[in-house]
Amino acid sequence: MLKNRNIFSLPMIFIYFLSFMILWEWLRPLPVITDTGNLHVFVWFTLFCFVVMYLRLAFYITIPLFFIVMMYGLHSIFYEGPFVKEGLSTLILFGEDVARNITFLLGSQMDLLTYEFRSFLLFLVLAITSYLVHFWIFHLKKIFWFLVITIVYVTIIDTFTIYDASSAIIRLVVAGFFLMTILFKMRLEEREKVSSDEFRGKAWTNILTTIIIAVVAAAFFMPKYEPYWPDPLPMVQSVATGEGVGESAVQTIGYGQNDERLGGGFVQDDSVVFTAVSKQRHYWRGESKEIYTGHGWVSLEPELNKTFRYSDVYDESVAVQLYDRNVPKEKLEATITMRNDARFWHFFYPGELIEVNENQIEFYSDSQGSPFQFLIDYLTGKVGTTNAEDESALFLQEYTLTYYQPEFVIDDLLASSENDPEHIKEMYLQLPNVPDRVGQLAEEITDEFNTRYDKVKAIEGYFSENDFLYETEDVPRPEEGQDYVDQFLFETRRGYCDNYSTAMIVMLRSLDIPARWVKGFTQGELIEYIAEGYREYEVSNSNAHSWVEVYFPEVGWVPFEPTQGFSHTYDFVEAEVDTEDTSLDDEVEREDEAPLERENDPENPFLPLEDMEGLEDSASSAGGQKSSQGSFNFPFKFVWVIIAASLIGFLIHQNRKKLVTSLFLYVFKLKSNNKNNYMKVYERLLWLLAYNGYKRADGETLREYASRIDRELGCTEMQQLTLYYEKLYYGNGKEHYLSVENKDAWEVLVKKMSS
Amino acid sequence: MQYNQTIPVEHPLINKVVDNVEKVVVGKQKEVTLSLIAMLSGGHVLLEDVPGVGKTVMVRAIAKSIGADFKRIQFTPDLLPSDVTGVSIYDQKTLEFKFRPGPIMANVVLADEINRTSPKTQAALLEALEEASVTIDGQTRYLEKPFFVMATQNPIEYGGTYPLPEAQLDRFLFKFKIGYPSHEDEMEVLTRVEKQHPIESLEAVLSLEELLQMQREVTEVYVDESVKSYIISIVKETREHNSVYLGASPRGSIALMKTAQAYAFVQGREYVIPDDIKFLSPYVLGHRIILNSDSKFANVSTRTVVNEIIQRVKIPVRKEAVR
Repeated sequence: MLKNRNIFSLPMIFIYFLSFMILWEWLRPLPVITDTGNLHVFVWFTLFCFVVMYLRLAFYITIPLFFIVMMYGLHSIFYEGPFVKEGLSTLILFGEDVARNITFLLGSQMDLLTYEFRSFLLFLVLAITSYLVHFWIFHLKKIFWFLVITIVYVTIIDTFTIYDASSAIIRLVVAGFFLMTILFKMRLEEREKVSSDEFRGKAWTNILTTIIIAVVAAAFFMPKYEPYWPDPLPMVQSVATGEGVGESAVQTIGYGQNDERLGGGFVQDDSVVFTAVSKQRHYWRGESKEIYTGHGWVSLEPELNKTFRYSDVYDESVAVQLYDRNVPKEKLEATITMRNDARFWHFFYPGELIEVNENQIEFYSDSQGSPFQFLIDYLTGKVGTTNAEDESALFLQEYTLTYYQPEFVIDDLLASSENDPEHIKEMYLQLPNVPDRVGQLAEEITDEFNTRYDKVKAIEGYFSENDFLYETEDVPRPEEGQDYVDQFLFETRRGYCDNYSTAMIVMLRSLDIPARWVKGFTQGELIEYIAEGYREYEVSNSNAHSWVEVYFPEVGWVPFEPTQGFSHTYDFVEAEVDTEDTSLDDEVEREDEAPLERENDPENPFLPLEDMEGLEDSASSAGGQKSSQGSFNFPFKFVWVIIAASLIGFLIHQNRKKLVTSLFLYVFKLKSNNKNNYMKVYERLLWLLAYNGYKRADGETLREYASRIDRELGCTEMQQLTLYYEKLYYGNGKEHYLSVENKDAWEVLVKKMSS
Repeated sequence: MQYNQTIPVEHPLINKVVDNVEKVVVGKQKEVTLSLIAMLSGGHVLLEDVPGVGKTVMVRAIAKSIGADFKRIQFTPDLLPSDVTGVSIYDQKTLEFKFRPGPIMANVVLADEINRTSPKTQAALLEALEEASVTIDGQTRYLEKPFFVMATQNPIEYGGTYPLPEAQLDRFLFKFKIGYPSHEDEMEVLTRVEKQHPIESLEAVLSLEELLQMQREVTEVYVDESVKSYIISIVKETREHNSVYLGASPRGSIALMKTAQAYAFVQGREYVIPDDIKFLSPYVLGHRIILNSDSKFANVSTRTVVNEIIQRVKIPVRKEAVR
C-alpha cells in the first residue's frame, strides 16, 4: 500500500513542505482577486494533497481519498450538519449539482455555474497541481520553472491588483532557494550514483542555510530603485472607464471632458464598479452626447434641469423619457450598489428611468446626511443628486430605481415615418467637416434599403460583415487634423466601442438619420441568483461601453449596438409572433443574411445578442422572465466551440507524430536508471517506431528489425540499444544500461525517426 | 539459405578450429561451424550430399584440428552391426573372449553413405548415436567422449539403398548439405591440392579436454523462458502446419535449444536470443518433419515449410511492460 518505504526521510519531508509553501502562494491572493471565501479549507486540502503525495499511496487509495476529502471540504463550506451523518446527503445534493453544472458547461453558460461546482473544480485543480508538483520534485527533481511561474504570477497580481506580495516574494525566494539546492544535490547524487546521508547535521546544511539567509537579508536591506514606471493600477482604472474610481473631485467625474478626444488603446481592468440586482440583464445607461467634434463627443453645456425633453411627453412621472407611449414596456425595479469606493454622483439606469426611490438612496459617508435634490439633464438623460444647499455633487453608494424596459416591435420600426421634429433634426444631425468618403460609404451600405430601420440595421451590421477587428490595446489615436471616424473606417479598421458607435452615428447622420452617442456599462457578470427572479450582476470597469441611439419618430430613441462581439440587452420582437418559441440567437443573423431578408424572416425576433466581451457575462436568463433568451442560446456558441476544437484537433492530428515523439523524448529523460526502465523505454521506442511507420513483422527478431531500422535511418543506434535490451531480456541481465551514451543513442534515433 | 553465408564466430577457441579447418576446406565456413556446433552440443550431423564435395576432408580436418581419434566407416549392403561396433573374439592363448573395438569406438566418426547398409546395421549405429554406448554380447560399453558422428547419405542413388526411417533421422541434430563450391572456391581448392593435400600438414589447435570443457560451458548458456516458449511455439507450429503430415517431436525442441546454446556460445554470448533459434531452425527441424503427400507432389521442401513457420511465429517481446 505504501510505496514510500523510507517514510521519514527528513529531506523529502522538507522538500514537500517547501513545495507546499510555494503552491500556497498561489492561493493567498485568491480572496483579493476573486470572491473566493473559506480559503483555509483550500489550503488545508492542498496540505492534505501534499501529505498523500509524499506517502505515495497507490492510486486506488489516493483517488478515493482525495474524493472523500473534497466532499468533506465542500460539505464544510456549503452544507449543514456533521459530515459523518450528512455526508451522504451532501454527496447526493452535490451529484445533482454536478449534473446541473455539466449542462451549463455544455451550454457554455459559465456564469451559471454554482459555487459548489466552482469550489469542486478548484479542489480538482489543487489536487492535480499537487500531483504535478510531486512529479516535478520526486521524479524530475526540478522545481525551477514552477518557481519562476509562481514568481511571475505573484508579481503580476501584485502589480495589477491591490494584493501586496512584498512578503510573498521573500517567502518564495527562501523556499525556492532551498528547494532548488536540495533537488540539485539529489540530482547530482543520482547521476553520480552515490547515496549519502550528508543531509542531516552536516556542514553542507549549515552552509546552505547561512548563504540563503545572507542573500535574502542582503537583498532585503539593500537600497532599491524606485519603480521606473508608475504603478499602473490607477491609470488602468481611469483609462478603462474614463471615470475616476475612488477620486473625489467633481470635475473628473463627468464624461464630457474625457470624450472630447477619443482614440488610443487602453488596458482592461476588471475591478468592480457596482453590483446591480435586477430581474433582467441590462445595459446601464449613464448619459448620451449629441455633438461630434471630429475627435470625440461633447454635449451642450449641461444646464441641469433644462426642460428639453423627448417631444411627446406622455407621462410626467417618467424622469427620462426615451420611448413613445406605444412602445410596449414592462415596469421593473433594480438596486445598484457601488463597489470599491467608486464615486459617481449620477445614476446608471436601464431602459427608461421612471423614478429613484428617495428613501432608499444611500450616500458615501462624506456625502451622508446632507439634504439632496435630483438633477435631470433631459438632453443627455443624465440624472443625479446634488447637495440641495450648495449644489455640490453627492456620491451615491446605493439606490433603487424603477424603470420601463421597452420591447421594440420591428414592424413598428419598419413602419415608422421619417418625419423628424425640427428640434431633433437640429440637434442630432450635426456633423463637423467629415471627409466625403464617410458619407459615400454610408450611401453604399444602405443603397438597397428603403426604410430607416433597414438602413440602420445595415450600418449596424456593416462592421461585423466586413473585416473590422475588435481591439482595445493597439488602437492608434487620430493624427492632428484627421477625423476620428474616417481614420477608423478607412485606415485602421480596428478599435473598440467608441470607434464603432461613433462611426455608426456619423454615417447615420450623413444619411440624415438622427442618432446620438450613449455611454454607460454593459450588463456585467451574473454572479448570484436572488429570490423572486432577481439576479445580481457585477459590473466592472471593463464593462464600460458606448453604443448608439437612433431616433424613430413614432417609437423614440432606439438603441443599436454596432460594436463587434457585443449585443445589447433590448428586446426586438416581431409583432404577433410568440417570442417564446421563435427566439434565436442573433449571431446567426450576423453571419448569414443581408438585412433585407430579416424582415421576411419570422424566426428572427432580434432578441439580444450575447455579450462577447466578457465570456462569463454571456449566459442569459434561465428561469428569468424571458426564458426564451436562455434556452436557445447555446447551440451557436457550441458550434464555435466545436469548430475551434476541431481546428485544434486537426492541428494536433497533423503534428501528432512530432508531439508524441517529443513527449516520449521528454518522458524518457525523466526515467531513472534501472533495468525495468530501460526495458520500458526500449519497448516504448518499438512502439514509437511502429507509430512512425517502421513496423516490425511478427517473425522479425529484434536484431533483424534493428539492423533494418538502422539501414533505413542511416545510423547504428538502434542496434546498440537492441543489444542491451537482448542482454536484459533474453539474457536475464542484472545491470542497467540506461547509460548516458544510450540516452544519446535513443535521442538520436527518435530525432532521426521523426525528421 | 544464402550461398556462402558465414556464421560470426566470436569464441576464440572455436575460431581457431574454424580457421584451421578452413585451411583445407574452402568456402564452407558455415558448414564447418555448424558441425562444430553439433559437436559442442554433443550431437551428430547428417550430411546429404553427392560424393566428392569434401565431406570426408571436412570431417577429417575437424578431427585433426581437435586432436581427436578419427575413424571412417564406409557403409555397404553387406556391412554387419559388428563391423561397426566391434566384436569379441576368442583368444586361444588366454582362453577368453577379447573385445576388438569396431570403428565406432573413436572420437570422430565419418559414417559414409549410411543409407546403403541394411537397417540392422543402421540401427546399431543409431543406438550408438543416441546412447553414446554400444551393447555387445549383452555388455554395454560406453563410448569415449567427445563422440561425434558425421553421417552422409547419397540423395542420388536409390537402387539398393535403405533410406533412413524418419524416426532415425531424428537422432541427428542437424541435417544439411555441403554443396558445390563456387568457381573461385573451386579454383582455390585446385591451387591448394596442386602439390600436396593440405590436410596432411594440418595440426591440432585444440585439445580434447578443452573441447569437453567447452561442451560443459555450452550447457551453462542461459535460455530465457521467453526463448524457450518461442522454441515451443515454432515446434508446435510444425505440428499444425497445413503441409505437414508429422511435425517435430519434443526431441526436436530439445535439439533446437541445445544447438541454440552452442550457437550462442560460438558467438561468444551467454544467453540465447530468438535470432539463434531462427537461424538454426531449418537445420534442426528440416529433417524432423514429414510433409503430406499433397505438398510432396507440389514439390514443397521441408526447408520452405520451416522458413515459412519462422517468419510467422511471433518473436517474444515483453508484454507486461507495455501497459
